[in-house]
Amino acid sequence: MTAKAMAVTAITLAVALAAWELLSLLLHAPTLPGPWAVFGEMAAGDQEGLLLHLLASTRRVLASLAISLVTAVPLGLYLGRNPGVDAWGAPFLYLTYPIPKIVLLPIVLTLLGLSDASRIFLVTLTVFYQILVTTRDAVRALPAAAIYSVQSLGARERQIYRHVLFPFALPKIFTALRISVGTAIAVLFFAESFATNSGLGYLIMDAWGRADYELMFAAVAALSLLGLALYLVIQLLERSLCKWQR
Amino acid sequence: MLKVEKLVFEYRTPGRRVSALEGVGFTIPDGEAWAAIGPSGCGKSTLLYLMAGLLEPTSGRILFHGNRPGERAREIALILQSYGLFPWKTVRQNVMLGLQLRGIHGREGLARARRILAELDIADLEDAYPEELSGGQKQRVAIARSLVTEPSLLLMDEPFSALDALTRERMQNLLLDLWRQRRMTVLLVTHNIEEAVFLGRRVLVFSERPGRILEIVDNPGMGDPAYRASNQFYEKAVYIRQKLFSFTGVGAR
Repeated sequence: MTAKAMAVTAITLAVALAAWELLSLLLHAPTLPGPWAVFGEMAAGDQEGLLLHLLASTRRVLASLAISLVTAVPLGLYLGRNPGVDAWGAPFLYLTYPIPKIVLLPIVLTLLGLSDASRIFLVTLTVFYQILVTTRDAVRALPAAAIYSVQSLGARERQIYRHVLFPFALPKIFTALRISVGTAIAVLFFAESFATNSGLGYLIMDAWGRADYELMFAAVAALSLLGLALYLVIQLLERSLCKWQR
Repeated sequence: MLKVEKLVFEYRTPGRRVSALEGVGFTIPDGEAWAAIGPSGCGKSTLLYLMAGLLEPTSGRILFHGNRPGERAREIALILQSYGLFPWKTVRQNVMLGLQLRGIHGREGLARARRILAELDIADLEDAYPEELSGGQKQRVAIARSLVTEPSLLLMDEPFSALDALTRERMQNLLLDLWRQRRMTVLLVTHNIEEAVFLGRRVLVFSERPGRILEIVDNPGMGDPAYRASNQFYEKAVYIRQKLFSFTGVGAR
């Protein structure tokens, strides 16, 4: 980050915190504690297990992202490369893509039980589609000359995936990943707010129920920081893996 | 020897067939450089794709040293019109790709890549990405990438068409040098008459689609960089221009 970008970030952050503090002072209600009270709560130690809940949420969202990438990227590359297969897969994709995956929560909880697996499954389902559709569309937009070029160098099908299709789609995959992180966190919150006793989603709902607003906001802030951290990690990965992009 | 016999190729689009090449035949002796010229859409590029084994002929056959192109693709290198470089690979990685795909890795691959980059005068660009290069530099990288595997047949599809006149002439001279040192068989497709006369020992003159060979023009003066400035060169260019005009009729420019 340049000095200017850092200054802009710092100012933006300061303004946001000041606005939050001001709103809290104006409302003067226990439902909206100011940032200092919330950060104090966060720093006050771990009596409510905030850190453990953060770890539980982090583990779930990372597992979901990893599973989505490992399944959606190869499938997307394959469908993009094989329009004949895609013609069969596409209708299924278009039918199921618009279903808000979160409404499947009751079914998933019933089928997969109240474990981690059902929450990971739900987040994975959401991210999977975004990455699958993006990857497939990226490959379909690849100019035929690129395939001819690598084939004329003697590449077999597997090598076409490795040297052309995957690197060509990679920047688009990162974009999809960045966009889906926000959605993933939102779905995670919802998936964690039912029938579990771990994760920030649970902590938020639990603290709300007990009218512990400072803890509730601390958990909200932790969830936001988780999203921010993921976003930054993706950015760093993209910079180191897509060097040609700048 | 590169032998092309009664070659026919039809594109199949939904609902109809488009004939791109109709009964094309010629034989290039080993070590000769030939050029093919013709109006846009006459199937010249298709011919190269067929020769590189990227497309299968509808009928007829191509034999290079007695083999069909698909069987011995290793001997054949193709340079595409838009260079065909991969933006996500550095110059060095682009050049080493052909070696890598043939199982030549590590030290040997690197040494061979560096040798050819130095020969083409682009050694200092090995860590650059294609986006950072000029048109002429990209062209050099594309040539380096195809020559590093030491092909015995080099196919080029309008390789210099995107370059400015000066760079273009320089690249033509470079190609002539490389061919004279290596004596590989070359087929260069172009729509530039002077380029065809400068680089083709014989010039295949193609008709409009479906592409047929109208005439194979002998061009014995080719091979000397000074040929470009001679009367003989000029006359040959005029001759080919007339052929193209008379055969392609009213639509020709």
